[in-house]
Amino acid sequence: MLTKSAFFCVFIAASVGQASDNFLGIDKRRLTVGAPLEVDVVGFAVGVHPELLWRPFSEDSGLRLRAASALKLGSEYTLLAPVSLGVRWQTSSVRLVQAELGTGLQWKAFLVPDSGAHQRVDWYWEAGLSARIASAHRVGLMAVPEFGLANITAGGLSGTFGLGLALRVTWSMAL
Amino acid sequence: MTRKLLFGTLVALILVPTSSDAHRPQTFDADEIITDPTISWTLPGTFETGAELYEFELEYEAPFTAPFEIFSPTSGGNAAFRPRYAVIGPGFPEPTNDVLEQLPEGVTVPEGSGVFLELNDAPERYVFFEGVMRRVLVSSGTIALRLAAGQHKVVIWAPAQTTGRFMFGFGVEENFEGGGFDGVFENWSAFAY
Repeated sequence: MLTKSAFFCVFIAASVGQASDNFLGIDKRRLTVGAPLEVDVVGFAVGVHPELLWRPFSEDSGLRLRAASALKLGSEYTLLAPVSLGVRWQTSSVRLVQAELGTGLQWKAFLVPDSGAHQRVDWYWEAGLSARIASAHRVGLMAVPEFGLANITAGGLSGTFGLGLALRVTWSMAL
Repeated sequence: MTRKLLFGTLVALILVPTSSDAHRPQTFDADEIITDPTISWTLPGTFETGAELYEFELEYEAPFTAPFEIFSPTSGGNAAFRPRYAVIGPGFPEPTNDVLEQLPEGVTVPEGSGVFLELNDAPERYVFFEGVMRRVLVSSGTIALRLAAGQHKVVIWAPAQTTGRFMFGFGVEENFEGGGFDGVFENWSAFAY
């Protein structure tokens, strides 16, 4: 089920670029897709973290809603994050260099050999810079501190604490 | 509507209760390794040659019960490593000749002290996901030890001069006061990978 969810999210992000003026009823000009490479430096893991950003208020707004999905391979586990939901503020996209700040929640599943899936909800923060390399394309770097909030178990949610820090090399394309 | 949704999400985040049972990180090269034996600690170490001996002392003013276990981090092919440990102190059974032979060379048992010996040789060991630092560890198995008042010594060694990495953990009460995470930042690779 987790794998299907991840593929669904990746599929949506990838297929947005091929749609016409609208995607699921949303004006494409308000959408941005991204495909960052990501490295976890707390518990080593490397993978991709495709994302879809939507400006809900106006085309010029700095506020974007973010949906993302991640798959990372580590030395001790495979990390699948089927869904992340959050917000990201970005300075003007007209400028060559753009600053970015974000926050949100992420559903994670640490797939551990001989121990199963350890699922939890993390609270993440984002801080980064990106530079325009073409009219609609940007690349950049981003740091993502993460804090485990709640374990997801068969009995429901239970409070927990966990640390995380991911570093991203970002690429994004405004549609 | 969207703004209300964002606000609601932020409120929900703040209200989610959080807790954990994390050990306080420490390293064997600290001036004073265990500053308070009544809280929980974790200590990483590496057997580069297999001949090393790791030791630390615990001083209890009154009898105290705490869980003990030794872990092998699974990264880098280390999962099969089976480090051993012994707790030497008052209140434990007097060691038999067989127990004394199992202890590493140079380790002595003071008069009036006994030995708890963990050979870490169970055929099946449980795999533990440690969520604070995102580690996957194989455990010797948690065992609660009743420690009598007085001075105890914990000794950790590798059998047959095998090599590998370990993390030793004991205690229950979480306490990070006074720079409790300093050891992590100073020894990042030992705790985070």
